[in-house]
Amino acid sequence: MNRKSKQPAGLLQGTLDLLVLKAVSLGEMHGYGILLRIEQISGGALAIEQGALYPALYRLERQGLLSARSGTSDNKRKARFYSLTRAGRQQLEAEKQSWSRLVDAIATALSARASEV
Amino acid sequence: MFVYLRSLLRRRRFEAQMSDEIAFHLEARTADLIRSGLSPEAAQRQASLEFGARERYREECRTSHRLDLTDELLRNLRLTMRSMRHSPFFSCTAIASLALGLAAVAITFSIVYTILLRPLPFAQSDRIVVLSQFIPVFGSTPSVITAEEFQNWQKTGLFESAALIDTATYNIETAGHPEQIQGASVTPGFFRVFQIQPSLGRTFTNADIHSNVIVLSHSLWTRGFASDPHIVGRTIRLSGVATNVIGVMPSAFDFPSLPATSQIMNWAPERSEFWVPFDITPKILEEGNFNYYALGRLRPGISPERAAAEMLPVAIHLFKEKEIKYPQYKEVIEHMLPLLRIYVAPLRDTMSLGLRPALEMLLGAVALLLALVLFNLGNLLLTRNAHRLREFTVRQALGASRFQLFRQSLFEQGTLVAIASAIALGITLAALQLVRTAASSKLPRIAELHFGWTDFALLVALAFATAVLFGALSQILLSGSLLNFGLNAETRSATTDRRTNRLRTLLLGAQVAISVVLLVAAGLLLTSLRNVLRESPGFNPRNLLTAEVSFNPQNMRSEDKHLQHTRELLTALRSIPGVVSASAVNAVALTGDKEIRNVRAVGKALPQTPENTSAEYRVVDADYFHTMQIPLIAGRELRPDDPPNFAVINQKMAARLWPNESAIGRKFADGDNPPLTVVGVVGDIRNASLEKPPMMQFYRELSANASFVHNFVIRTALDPDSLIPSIEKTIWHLDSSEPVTHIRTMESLLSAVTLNRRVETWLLAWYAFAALFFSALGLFGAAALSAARRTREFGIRLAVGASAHQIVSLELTRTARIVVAGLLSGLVAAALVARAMLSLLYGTRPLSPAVFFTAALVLLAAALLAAWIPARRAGHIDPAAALRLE
Repeated sequence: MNRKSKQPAGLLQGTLDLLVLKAVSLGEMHGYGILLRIEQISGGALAIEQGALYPALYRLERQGLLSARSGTSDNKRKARFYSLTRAGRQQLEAEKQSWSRLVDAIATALSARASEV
Repeated sequence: MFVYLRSLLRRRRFEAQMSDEIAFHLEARTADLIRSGLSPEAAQRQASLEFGARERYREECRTSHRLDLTDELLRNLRLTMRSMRHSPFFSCTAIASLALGLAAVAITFSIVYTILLRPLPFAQSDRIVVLSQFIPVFGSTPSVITAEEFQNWQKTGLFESAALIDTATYNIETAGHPEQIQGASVTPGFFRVFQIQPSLGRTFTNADIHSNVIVLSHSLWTRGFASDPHIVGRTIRLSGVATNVIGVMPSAFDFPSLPATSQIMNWAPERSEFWVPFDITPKILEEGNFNYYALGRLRPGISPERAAAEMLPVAIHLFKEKEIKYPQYKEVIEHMLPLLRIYVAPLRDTMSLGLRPALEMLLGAVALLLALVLFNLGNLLLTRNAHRLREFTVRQALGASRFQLFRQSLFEQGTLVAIASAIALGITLAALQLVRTAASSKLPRIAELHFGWTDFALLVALAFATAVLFGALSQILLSGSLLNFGLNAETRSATTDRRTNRLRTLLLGAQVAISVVLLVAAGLLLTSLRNVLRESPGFNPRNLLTAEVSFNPQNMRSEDKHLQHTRELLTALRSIPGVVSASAVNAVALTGDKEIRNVRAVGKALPQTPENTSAEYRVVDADYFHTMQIPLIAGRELRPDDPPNFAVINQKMAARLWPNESAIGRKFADGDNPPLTVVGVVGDIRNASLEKPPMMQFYRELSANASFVHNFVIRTALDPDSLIPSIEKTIWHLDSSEPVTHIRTMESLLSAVTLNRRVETWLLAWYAFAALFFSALGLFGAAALSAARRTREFGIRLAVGASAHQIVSLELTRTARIVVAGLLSGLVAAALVARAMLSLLYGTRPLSPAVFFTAALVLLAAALLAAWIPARRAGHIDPAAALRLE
């Protein structure tokens, strides 16, 4: 089965997923809330088209990393609330580590001087 | 499959949820933007812009959430359709054979289950047993019993309750016409045996035994009394006697509504439309007639075998008493006692008595057919997948995982089985409907014929499991050759899938063997059927009608009155235009109806065996032999003015009682009556069946026993059916209160006595034909595959000088090896099966060389034809073209 789907423009799929997981790990949240939180924790640096969030949410839910339930928002509207599953939490940990490794690796690579090659 | 379906069903809920979520997002964003100072319109536009291309994201949501699955479903469906289109031979064969096999099994099993296995609709129905006995004099079916036997058996304490049953026939008036209704007089224990409550009123108790009361069956209540809810308490006239209706039984209790079961067993009343109380009077006990049927409900824990063992000494004791009372029967009784057997068997089994061997045979045959069809499916799958080796290889090379390939083939096989099952279901339902309407009067309990959904589901599961098994098997077996050879060397792969080849050879051999078994069985039955149909009934059944008239009691007051009325009826019948001749008789041939007498030649000491002493007794009008066209062998026919002690006997009786001498003028005794003088000898006629040899038979003129006679036989010049209305009119013209029943042509009776045999024979013949056809298809497929695989090899052989003939015989030899091995093992198995079929055969030995030889020949011919077509093609390829294939 082929799980490839279109990427949100300008953002690696893995990055968005990681950010969503991170945002949800801070507490149960509806889609709009997740968006606000991503903007907040990334300092607005990672701008995405807001609609791109939803395919990511659905994909993560289907992969069993997020679970969703219907609930009522602060302004008494019906909304879907997402929370992290156990698998989601593990995935977040794993991704955090591999992300750090990648960042380290790239940083090391970029700081290499000609003499070291 | 289930996941796919569920996700399709969830589609609408999902769409609504997604729309809600997006709407919520936009609303919340708009509200935030308004709060930050934008005007509502500007905020709305801004929120929408920030969200981006809504439709695109919706589509992406669908994809990421669910369409993965539906996508694969669609892709698999597309692939399946494509592969079915690409191999129509495979798809059609697989679907047709599987559908046919499943339907055959489902139909046969439903019928067999309904007749043989389905419990009767009564509480602990297995404890309801028929109490009867085998008395050699009365033939080989469970016979009637005496009232005394019943009473003594009842005293053994083996039964919770038991009932003695006699047939009862009354005339009533329904819808302006006189009608004869048939029911039973039963002792009050009858309803306790079944433990069933009436739907209206009550059943009778011991207190009702002397009163004129009646319990109606549901069918009589509906038909005769328009389902009158106030029928209980009403008085109706039964043959002129005022009778009080006390109850109506529920429709489930149309017992024993077994029309025409008298052909299967002579103990069951033809139809019970009502029940009246039966009083066992001292007179009935004194007469000691073998006239009655009995049923009992066994006490818990008592087996039928144990009951029979305990009842035997009771019966023997009674016969010993008889022997003392009637010393003249001493010899007959002494001869009979060692052969006496008690018959105690569940009612259900008794109802299907005589049908069991044939039904079991059909069930066995259909099981073989199912096995063959499943083998065939397996073989086809293996063959087809071998053909697709290249496709699999390409797909695997392009990145499909082994598991993905397996899922795809699973899907294909699932689709195949599903289509076949749907077709089989349609066939089964239609066929069962047909059987229900066509056979309701010929087979017991067939009205209850139901379709077993669980059984069908089981069958489908079996088919599916087979498909999956062989699908997986072929992949595993082929996986060795995948990638290695599939892409680059099609020719070498022909030798690499040896393991599949071996499995296919085995499956083909098994199919051939099963076909041989079914062919031999069908051959034996066809031979038997031909032998039965060749038997003459002993008279000319063409343009011959028979009718029973239920006399008005006024016309039966005395023997003379009865005789006079019968002669009047005969005169009236003979005057109908189109009637050639007419006669009266007490027991119509071919119906199984008979009056058995104990006879012995006067002045001759013959061993008192049943063959020498039991004779069918017929009272006939003098015109009988002429009307029936029974040939006169010696002496003369009866005349109306003959003295009452003149008799005509059949050839069998003449040969038994007076072997090697003329019977004319000899005397014989019928029981204790004065001796009769033989004036003529006529041909034997068959009763009940063409398969049983005729018994001894003797005839006396109407005046000797006129009160026995209620049946008429009428020879017509025209189509007999067209005369039925004028015959009824003529009879009612003489007495409008006399019902005319059982108007039947002799040809329909003749066809009825062979019906079961014809049906079972043709069914088996069809199974055998289907088996042959599918194994031939299997062989064809295998040969075609082999030929296609070796095209290049043959090209080389032809190029270096092999003749087309050599190539053809090379290919034929390959198939021949499989066929001969299958044929030989099939013949051995068929020999065993044939022995088991002994009771179904007529006029042929189980190991009939002709049948075995023909079966083998038919199979070889079909197999060779199947193999020859592709082999011939292989022999005629163009070597140059074949070599260019590379």
